[in-house]
Amino acid sequence: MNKEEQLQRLLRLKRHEQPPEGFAEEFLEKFQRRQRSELVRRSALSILGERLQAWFEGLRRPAVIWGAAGAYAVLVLTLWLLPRPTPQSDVTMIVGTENPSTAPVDHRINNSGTEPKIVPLPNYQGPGKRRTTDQEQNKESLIGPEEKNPEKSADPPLRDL
Amino acid sequence: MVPETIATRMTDGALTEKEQDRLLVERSRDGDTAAFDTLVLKFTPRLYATVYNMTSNREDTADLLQDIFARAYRSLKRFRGDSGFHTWVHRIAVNTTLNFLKSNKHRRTLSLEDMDSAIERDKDYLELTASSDPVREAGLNELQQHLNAALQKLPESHRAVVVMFDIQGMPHAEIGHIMGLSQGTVRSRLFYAHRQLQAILSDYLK
Repeated sequence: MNKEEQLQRLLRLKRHEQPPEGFAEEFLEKFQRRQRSELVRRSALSILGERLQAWFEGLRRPAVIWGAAGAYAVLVLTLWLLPRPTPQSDVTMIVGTENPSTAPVDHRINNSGTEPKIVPLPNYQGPGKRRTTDQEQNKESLIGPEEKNPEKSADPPLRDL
Repeated sequence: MVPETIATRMTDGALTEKEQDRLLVERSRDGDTAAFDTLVLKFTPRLYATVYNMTSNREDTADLLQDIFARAYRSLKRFRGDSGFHTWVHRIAVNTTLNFLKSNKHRRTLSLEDMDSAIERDKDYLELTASSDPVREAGLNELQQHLNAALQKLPESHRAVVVMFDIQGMPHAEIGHIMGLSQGTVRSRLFYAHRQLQAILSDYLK
């Protein structure tokens, strides 16, 4: 007989620890007395509490209905919490050519959520191209007359004197 | 309401134990207190053994049994019959006892039942006394004290498994249902509990 088997046999001996004969009948009598006294002692408040509890338990049964109601509540709450769109303000993107990759772009932040408008500059021919006279005039009309080179108008340098 | 077929078969005596219990539960739910009394009488010895062997105190056991049956009576509405009444009421018993043991950890005393006289004809006892000198030399009372003290040294959840498996003879699957554990966890707890008990009771295991 190994130790494990010996242990199991030892533990099985505890089955012989039994309550005295007639214990079950005596216990039942005590149980009935206790049940009856509890019934008498119960206050109206505890009865009301028990009935409310039973009512809530009854409500818990159609879980599908409660689940659907919960999902609807979450949906409504989500929609309510979502950021609402602000009033629209148009932002104009000024572009000098119809080719958007080389055109100058107005980088002002556009918060309106709308697509910026692309407006080609008049007579703009793309980067690196010489301006014509008409273009120079247009430029002056847009940004004002160009400042003259100060070196040309100032007195000659000292070393020339 | 009690199904007609079950009622007829019960009068014929053709019902299984599980069906009889279910019928008694149905009647109890319908307000038949005598039906619940029958259940109390039937399950008191089995639940007593479980609770007593977990607490090793007969006064605590009697008090706990009152609570257990009162709780079972109040919860009858929630008994769905997925498992047998035996398993269901055992679950209440084990949970109530574990809660009691946890809240009264530091004031535990042993108060033991007497061993019945049938132990002297028990096959296990006869073989143990024949093969082990310490068991033969120890009186029954001393052996009982040591066994209970050893069980009390186990963690409560391990003790519950040992009580149901080794003393009550329940299968792993039912213990798992009662305690809400997998069979693997039940086996693992048994393994560790047995190893601990072997160390504590080493004097008797030679």
